[in-house]
Amino acid sequence: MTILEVTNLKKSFDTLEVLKDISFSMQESEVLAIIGSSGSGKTTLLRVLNFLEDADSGQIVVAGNTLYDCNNCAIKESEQEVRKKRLHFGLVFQSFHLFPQYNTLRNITLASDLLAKERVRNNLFGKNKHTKAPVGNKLKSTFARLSSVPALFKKYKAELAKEYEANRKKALAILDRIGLTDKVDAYPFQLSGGQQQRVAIARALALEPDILCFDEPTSALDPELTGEVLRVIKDLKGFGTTMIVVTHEMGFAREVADRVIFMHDGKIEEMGTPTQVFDNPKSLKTKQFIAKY
Amino acid sequence: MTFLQVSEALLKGFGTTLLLFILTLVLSLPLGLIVSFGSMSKFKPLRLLTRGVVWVVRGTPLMLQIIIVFYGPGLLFGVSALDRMTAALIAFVINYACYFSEIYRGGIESISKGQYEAGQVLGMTKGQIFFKIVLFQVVKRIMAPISNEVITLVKDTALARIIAFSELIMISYNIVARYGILYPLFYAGVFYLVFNGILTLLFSRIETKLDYYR
Repeated sequence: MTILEVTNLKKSFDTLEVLKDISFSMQESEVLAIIGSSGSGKTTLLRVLNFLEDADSGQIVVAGNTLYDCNNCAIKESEQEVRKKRLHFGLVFQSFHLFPQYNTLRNITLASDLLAKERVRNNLFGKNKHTKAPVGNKLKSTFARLSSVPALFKKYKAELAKEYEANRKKALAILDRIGLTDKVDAYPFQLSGGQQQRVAIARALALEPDILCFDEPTSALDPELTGEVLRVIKDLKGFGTTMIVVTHEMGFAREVADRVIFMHDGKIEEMGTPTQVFDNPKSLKTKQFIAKY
Repeated sequence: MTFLQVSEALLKGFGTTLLLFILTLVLSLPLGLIVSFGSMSKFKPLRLLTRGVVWVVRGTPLMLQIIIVFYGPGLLFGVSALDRMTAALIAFVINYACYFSEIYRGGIESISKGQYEAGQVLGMTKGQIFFKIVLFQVVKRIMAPISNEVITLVKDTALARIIAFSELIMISYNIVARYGILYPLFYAGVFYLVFNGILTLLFSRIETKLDYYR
């Protein structure tokens, strides 16, 4: 099943055209590696997909939902809508960006807890909850509503506690999967770079995005720490996670990716299976780039 | 005047000083945050206006501001003057809010863009990002400059005597002038010193508390 379809995506910063007409699609559970020299637009592509930057034109369709369409891109969207779109994607940053004041568990559960709170609140106190009563009954219904407040509040607290507990369990399960169970209570500064990046991956996973994006996940790490992060990404592939990985680790891209995109100068210069791109590149630029590694 | 009588008078003066100090803090700390939002606003007129106000308030003597708030309304519009406490409080709150706003601004701008973006890709709202992620980190970073300002405020309250607000220095000076004894002034100094000592301890405790992460 096609999970992502990007068509004619363009993005400029002032006069600098960073993305020139990018089109590609992804199947569910596919791992796509994006390689290319710095300045080729890889990071910008990820940022556009995660709605950290607005594209100038093009289309982004995720699982049949059009998230971005240049025909409507002049319309400024509400924060609410942009947030909903962002949740289709997860993003793991080059330099982790964990929240330093929270421990590992809280880093992972914070966003899902906030979302749960919003959901429970809307369910219980949402505007459409109260149907309009006839005028004569208005006073009565107001009174009824007021007297139901303590009960409602109790229900709110109970449902919230349930959701939080579920989020906590989920976070612990993810931590178990990435082998950081013993670091549940540790703060980011107490973790090594590799561990921090694994927590960042867990944090992104907790929201169950359709597509998980990695922006050079090992570039900020010491060479001996890259292995543990790459291993986690490889494990995720085993679980069927759809991933886009921008990387300079050619060996990793070759081994784990189902398809590789080589970007050059804001365009997709070459796209294909790792064997095609690494062993039989058609474009001269791809050849030159590969030869450097 | 006996030592006990002096002590009693100074203690009363210190009470007034303390009241002005606490009220100023309670009001100017949140107001400063609002002012800092203004001076960081993307809306240029608001940003320029706020920065202009901060420039005037920080660029003129606090004593002058107290005089203007107290006498200004009466001289300009002929309305009855505010009482001394209110006038002093307004001047102090505005003045300190402007200083605090610059500290907040420095703190907020020092938080990396990555923290905001991490919150954004996790689907958080702007408010959630600010209150759940950024603010706490800002508080830790600005604790030292804030404690500086707070300690300065304790001593700045003495400026309110310019409108005959009977705070600690004014009361001790009155005793000196009337009875010809000098020690009440030094005695008043001890009050400030001890109180600031307590504040210093308090701030270092807060800083230790915030030291659990880096």
